[in-house]
Amino acid sequence: MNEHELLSPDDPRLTAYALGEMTPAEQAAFERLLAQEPAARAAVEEIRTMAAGLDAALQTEAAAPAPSLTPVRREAVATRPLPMPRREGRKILTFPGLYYLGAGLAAACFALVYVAGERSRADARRSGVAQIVVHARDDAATPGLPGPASMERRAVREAAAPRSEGIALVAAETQVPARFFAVAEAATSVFPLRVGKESYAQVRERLRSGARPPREIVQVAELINAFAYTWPAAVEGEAFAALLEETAAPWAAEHRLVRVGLKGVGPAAVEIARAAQVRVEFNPARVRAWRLIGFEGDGQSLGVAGGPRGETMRGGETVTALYEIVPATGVAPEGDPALLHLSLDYVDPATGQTRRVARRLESRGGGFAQAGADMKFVAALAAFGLSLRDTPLPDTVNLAQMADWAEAGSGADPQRREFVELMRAAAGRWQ
Amino acid sequence: MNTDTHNDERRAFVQSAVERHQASLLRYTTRLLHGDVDRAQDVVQDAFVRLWAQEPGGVADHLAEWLFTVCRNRALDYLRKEGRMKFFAPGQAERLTAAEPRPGSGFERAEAHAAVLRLLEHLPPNQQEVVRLKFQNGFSYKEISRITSLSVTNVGFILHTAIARLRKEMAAQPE
Repeated sequence: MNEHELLSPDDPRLTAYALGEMTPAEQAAFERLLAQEPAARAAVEEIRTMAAGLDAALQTEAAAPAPSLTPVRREAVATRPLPMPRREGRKILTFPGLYYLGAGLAAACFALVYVAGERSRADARRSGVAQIVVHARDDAATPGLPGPASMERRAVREAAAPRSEGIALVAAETQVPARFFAVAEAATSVFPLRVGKESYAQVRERLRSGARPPREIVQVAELINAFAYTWPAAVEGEAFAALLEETAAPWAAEHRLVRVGLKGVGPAAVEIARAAQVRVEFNPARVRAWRLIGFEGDGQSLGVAGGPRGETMRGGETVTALYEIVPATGVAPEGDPALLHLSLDYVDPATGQTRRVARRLESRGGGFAQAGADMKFVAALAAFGLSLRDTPLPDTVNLAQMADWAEAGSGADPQRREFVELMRAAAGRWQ
Repeated sequence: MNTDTHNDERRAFVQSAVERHQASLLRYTTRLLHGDVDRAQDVVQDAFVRLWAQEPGGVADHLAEWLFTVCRNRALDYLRKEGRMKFFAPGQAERLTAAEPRPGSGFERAEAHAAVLRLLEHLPPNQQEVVRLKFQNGFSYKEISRITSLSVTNVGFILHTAIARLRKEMAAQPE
């Protein structure tokens, strides 16, 4: 037997042995070879020395200032990401104002750096039309990728402000949850049927003490759901009363706001539905983009389908969700006239049967001034909450206006009136 | 509520993964991407976004390996798309090492470390990668094999070759 052939210096087992990468059996066998081979033993020692040197050198490298995710990325991974539909393609979305670049689009969103020239930023916003190119693709087929594939959405910097000289836009690529979605990419939305009210209590307390509520305690959905609204009668045989109402967004006249409300019907606190799940499906012929307002950053609510698994609902429980919609332009008169279809699937606990409440909403094109009181109040709460959260709204809108909208929607309701006063005080203090 | 608890747990899991692994993932990915720090940020962010979709119980025992694998795949996807599938050229990554010798005690040792790192930069990219995964990130042959899609045998061979070459070059260093 010629050990030199078995243990040439090129034998990778020398390194595997030196680094402790062998199984006990391999190791024992290899040690028998080593015992007869002083040169190989020396080689093992040298490998260990080199390994220690590498180890130490690479640790000093690691001790250099540690890179970390940028704050905006840190924030993006701090909340549950929005699942994306599977799709490959390239979409161009035109938004009516640059501020919506700031507000972000879909799960791919943009941090904007404005390099302003002579013209004021506000001028540019009024005149600008921004285009955003979004690549959406799904990497399900990536070989070797552990776990279920998810999405990549790369929002590519392409923003132009055609009529504003002296303005250059750089869109940095970042990912931020819960802003606008292109319907072409995500036509279905879900929202949780149970929304807490804790944020309202905390925000109210801060406002009463004259302090500005910190953004993390402001959950717009919880503000909205802390107030009582008027409900339509339920259709006979259905466990829920469903409400759909739309109006112009008071902060962006070309956008529509849609209020979706559901109320469990039946004796209070009695279980009326299990595995209840709501879906809102937007009609791509009528809606170009949408966002669910007020669920940003709480990590739980999901703007697009794939979210909550279904909840148990009791009589008297209600939920209100608010969508902001960018209508499609150049709508063909034929085809489905609805903006969206609402469906609520649930299991009737009495019979075990699956039931569905379905509604659809067509736009009447009404202005905000004509909207109902509840709608006005909800819109005001949304704008106010978003402002407290530093979520960009057009800077033509201020807190005093929001208080006006809220007042127009308050009537004699004491809870609403109190909040309007708090909004007014806030407007006086911070604007 | 159930969803809340579930979500809080998941968030805590992802957050602690970010704390523990972001630095090493950013270093590794930046190298794969020829020093493109911004793109590396994208890739690493994406890996943590994907982590949200994982059951913690399913990945907790091989979390680092999982994250490195995802980052590597994403980085290579990107390079493929950009037609830049050649890894970094020798010397290019040197800027990233920031291995400045510190004055005072251990100066000589720092010199030696810097010499090792310099030599390392001149190894072929696949050898550099495997050496770093082994000695900087502490992965086993098996883990490196799963991260890089190389066979365990191949990993052993590459590492052996890299160390042999470094030994030879260290020996040839002046002084």
